[in-house]
Amino acid sequence: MKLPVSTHDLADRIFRSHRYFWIKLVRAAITSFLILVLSFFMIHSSGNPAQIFLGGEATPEMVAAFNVRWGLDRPLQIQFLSYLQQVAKGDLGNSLLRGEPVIDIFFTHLPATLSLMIPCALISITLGIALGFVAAMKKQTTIDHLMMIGSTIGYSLPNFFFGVLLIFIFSIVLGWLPSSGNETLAHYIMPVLTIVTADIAIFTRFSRSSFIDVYEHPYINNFKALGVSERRILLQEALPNASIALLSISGFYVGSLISGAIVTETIFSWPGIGSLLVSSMKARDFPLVQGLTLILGFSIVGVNLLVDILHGIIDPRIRKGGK
Amino acid sequence: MDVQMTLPDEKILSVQNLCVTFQQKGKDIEAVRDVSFDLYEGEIFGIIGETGSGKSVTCKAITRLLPDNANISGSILYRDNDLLKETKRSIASYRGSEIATISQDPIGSLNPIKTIFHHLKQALLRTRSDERDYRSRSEHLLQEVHIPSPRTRMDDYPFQFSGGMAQRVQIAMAMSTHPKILIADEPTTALDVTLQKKILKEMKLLCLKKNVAMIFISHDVSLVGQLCERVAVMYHSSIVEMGNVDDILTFPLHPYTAALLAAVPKIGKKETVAAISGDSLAGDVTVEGCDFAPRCPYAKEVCHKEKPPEISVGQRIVRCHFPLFDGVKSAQPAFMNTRAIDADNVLMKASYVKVDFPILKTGGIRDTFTAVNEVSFALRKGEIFGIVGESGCGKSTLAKALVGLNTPSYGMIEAFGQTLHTSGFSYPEYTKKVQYVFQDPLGALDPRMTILDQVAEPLVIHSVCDAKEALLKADQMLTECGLQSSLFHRKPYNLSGGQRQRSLVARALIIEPEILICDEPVSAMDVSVQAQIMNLIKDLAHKRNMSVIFISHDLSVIFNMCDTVAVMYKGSFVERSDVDTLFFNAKHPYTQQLIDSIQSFSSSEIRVKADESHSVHACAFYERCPKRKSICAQKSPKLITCGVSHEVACFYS
Amino acid sequence: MRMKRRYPVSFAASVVLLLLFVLLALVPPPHDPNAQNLQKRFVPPSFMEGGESAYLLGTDYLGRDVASRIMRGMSISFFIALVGTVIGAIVGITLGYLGARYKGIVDEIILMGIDIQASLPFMLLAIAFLSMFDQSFWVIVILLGFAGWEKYARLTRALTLSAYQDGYCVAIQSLGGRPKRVFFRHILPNISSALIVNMTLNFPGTMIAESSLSFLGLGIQPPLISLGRLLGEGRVYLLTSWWITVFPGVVIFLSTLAMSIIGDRVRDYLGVRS
Repeated sequence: MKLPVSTHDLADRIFRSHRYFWIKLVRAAITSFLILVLSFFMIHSSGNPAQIFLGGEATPEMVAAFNVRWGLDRPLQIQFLSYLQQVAKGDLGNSLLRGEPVIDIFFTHLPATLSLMIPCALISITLGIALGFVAAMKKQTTIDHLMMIGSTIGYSLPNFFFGVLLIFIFSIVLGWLPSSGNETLAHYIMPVLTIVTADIAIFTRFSRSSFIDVYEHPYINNFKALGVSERRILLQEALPNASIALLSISGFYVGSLISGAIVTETIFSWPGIGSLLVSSMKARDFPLVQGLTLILGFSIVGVNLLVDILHGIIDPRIRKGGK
Repeated sequence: MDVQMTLPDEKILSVQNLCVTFQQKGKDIEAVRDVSFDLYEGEIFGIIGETGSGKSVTCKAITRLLPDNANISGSILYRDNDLLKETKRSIASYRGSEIATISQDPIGSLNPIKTIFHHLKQALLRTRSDERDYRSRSEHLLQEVHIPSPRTRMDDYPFQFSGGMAQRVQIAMAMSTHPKILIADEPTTALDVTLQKKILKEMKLLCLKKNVAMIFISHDVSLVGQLCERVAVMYHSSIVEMGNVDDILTFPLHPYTAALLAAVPKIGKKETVAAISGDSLAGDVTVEGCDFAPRCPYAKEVCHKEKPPEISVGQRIVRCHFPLFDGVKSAQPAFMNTRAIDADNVLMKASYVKVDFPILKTGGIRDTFTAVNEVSFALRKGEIFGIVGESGCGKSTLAKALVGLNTPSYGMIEAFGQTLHTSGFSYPEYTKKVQYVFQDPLGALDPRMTILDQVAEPLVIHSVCDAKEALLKADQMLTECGLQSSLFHRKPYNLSGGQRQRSLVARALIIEPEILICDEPVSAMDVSVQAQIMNLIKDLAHKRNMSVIFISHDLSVIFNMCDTVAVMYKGSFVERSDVDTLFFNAKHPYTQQLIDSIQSFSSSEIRVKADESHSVHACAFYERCPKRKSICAQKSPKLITCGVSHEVACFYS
Repeated sequence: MRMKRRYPVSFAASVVLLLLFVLLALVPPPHDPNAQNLQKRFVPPSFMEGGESAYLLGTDYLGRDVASRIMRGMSISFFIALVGTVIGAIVGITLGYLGARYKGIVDEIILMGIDIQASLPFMLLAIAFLSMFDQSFWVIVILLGFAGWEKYARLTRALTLSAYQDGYCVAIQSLGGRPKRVFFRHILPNISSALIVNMTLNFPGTMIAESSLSFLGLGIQPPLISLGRLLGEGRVYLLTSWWITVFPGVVIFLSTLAMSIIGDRVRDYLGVRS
């Protein structure tokens, strides 16, 4: 059945034929906007920033000067618009304490965080999937039960306590490992261990249940009945399906990595973005907190969008509009 | 049978004393007990049984595809090799290349994220042939199973295939490895009747052509009768009777086989189907004597105490203390349909009812799908009106519109002086008079409430009486629907399918409606239970002088239940008349196809796809019609009268 | 019956331990948890050399009784996690139900809210939130409640949708039941087991979230005590007085572990798939 195509219909069709991607894009745009609004209000809702920063004994003149200096005397919507303009130009303001641009401070701290997070993510994902697969294949056996108990302990163990415990044992009692800084490889051992323990537990659980799920599908049995080898079934059929399920939590995982970084970096005095965020928060350096929140928020939105697009591309049911 | 075959002597598979038990929660559950049968080269061997009878487990045991908690004993000899003695690795070499399997769920059996070509390639990789051109070989395979334009279709994904097409792909995969045995586990149960026959015929021809022996598992007696040469009947994990198919179907020796045959509704015979009383035993129940004894009308004392012996009569084997050598005792007197239909008292009238749904077509075009297209009928007092059609024809949508669960986009439904979906319409008043019985009783019952409470609920909702009296009435109603009072306080999960459907009927009838609408109430049930529910609805309708709209995809059920019938195809009624006229004098080609498909195997040719372009205004059946002419491509016929209370929508009837 | 299958000992131990913790949280502590005694600073636990029987788990850098502080900390931490969980559940269930019932644009908005909430990590949201408001008790409780609503909403929405999909909800409607009856008499009792499981499984997460915040000094502020804060404060004295840090940590770990084990068992028992 051929319908006459008007321009309106055409626009409608373009939207609907890629409905999945458009919805994800709109969601990312709305989330980004919310993050912008949130970060904008961070400075304005926290009482009177001048009072907080200048302290109780500031004179009204000093406060007024402060407000003019930071543009806080203008109407809210004007302030928001100029904030948007600034953000669009890549200008996130200067730190109150250090006086340097927020964006520069971010980039000086970024390598330390990335050098910790990337190995952690790689270890957690590969080990988690492998362990989850073993548990799924040995489901309801002693091995599986032991692994599940281990994973329950793993994710019940709060990372801040685990980190502190590691410091106590390996730095204080045994004196083997340095407890703060990121200069040598030895510095990496405890922070990596802290982050990886909980994450492996989560990935093991999740991949176990997705593998069990996939292996319960009739098509796996169908390939078995054809005499296709177990290895081939795993690589050709089970893994692609399970990885689609795993992909769906990787967006969430980036968020949990950031949460983990905030705590772990603080414990081990790691000179990364997480510890920077906590220290600037404590010092009430609001422009810095605001800027960091904005950048981190945007990166999470970006990663999530990327994951969604990737999902749409690998899953033919979405790509071909079957879902 | 269109092809007479003599059995070659070559035994290809011999199953001896096969037992399968599952270890579950520390308990051993016996799924297959002492099953023995032989399979000869090139023959088609059928296994009939109801849900849980162990027929699928038997076949999965042959290629050892059972889960790890299964314990298999006995022997399965494939050309003198005992498959049960093979290692886990070596058994895989038999799968596919020697013994192939086709399962029940065509779409689920294909990996959703891989193309059809990928599936065929995985199968072809098993053949160790030198020919590397997998694409052309795949194309050839798909051609063999009659998939149109295979070259482009093989790059599609399973979700782009219909159930029938997906089942053809499965057959192609199974055949690609040149197996000697094909195990088909209810291969067409998920498909529509007309399609079912076509695919089975293709499978049979393919097997004959390639000299493949087939084990065909089914719950459908008539299918097995038409397809197979020899058959085994299974009941509660063991074979109760085995032999030549014609002998068994015409002269059953085991009471279960006899009862099963009697429970199948037969077209053209206006008698009540003889239901088997009671339910099948649950899987974990073991009885001391014969498994069928609790339900057997011939059972004597010894049947309850001792396992029956295996008796051989020529080619036949039967496991019974008292085989029916003297023929079947004539069952309860046939109940002729002598109900009074009050022709002047029209309870419900539907005029030009049309139901549209918004859909999204590929490429993102927004469109509406017309599920029900200008359907009209009048339901008279005391009438059982059947609507028959294949899945997706709009019969359920129509039924839901009749109870107000769907809103028609056009047309009118009037009943009891009210018009549905208009401003003055009182829904509570209406639901008191028109009740609905759902297809899936497990879904339609609240899983957390006892059935007694649920049956009482309508009385509470409509504040007919107080809670105490409501429970009392519910008690009576459940008893009337044939449930034992020991079950009243159970929750739906702890009931069998038949018991659940009885509760659902009780809940619908407790506020004494004048019209009962049954949406495929027996489609998910075993034959023996199906007969019980059919009889129940019929009896209650008769006793209460109630009108019923009975919806089914199964023409034989409709013939048995109803006074008048409408045949629905793609949203429209294509033929409507009383039951007898429709059976003996069907005018519409679709109705004829339906009747043919349940009667015999050598049915008239069914077209699959249109080979000529036709306008959107063409007759809905144009694509599949064997009698179509040029006018059919241009306009759609309307229902016209062609006899006493007989209407048909066809230009050439 | 089925309760006995998998790690039965750990389950029983978890229940006993949790009951003990709740009891300890409820009874008044032996010392005033905030009373300083500068003569009694850094007293080790009573079972160690130099310990005093009055201070079972020793004292901290201001001479406050560690055991008493843990007990008070437990009651505050448990309370926050509990109320946070309940707030999250109420908001989530309501929104999830509304989405499933009204579908269309309402559903789209709620779904988007769920997606957004799920994609933003708790810590980042907490920092943004806490820099806007005072770090007061109720702000933190509400923050924790909002951190969890999305899971309940997702669950309620999915379960309600499937109950409407040709299931018992439509059946009750066709019997003449009104939407209110359908929800309270049928849907809610049916999804309650899944919700209870979700609550028990989420509870440890909520507790860890609160403890992490307090550990960083961003959560509960003195004079209120929370387990996380005890750990954060004691960390500096790890070299000399490990007991200030380790005991609160052990309590957090054991309570979250016990809750997780109980949650897993309840899920298996009620037959809910996560």
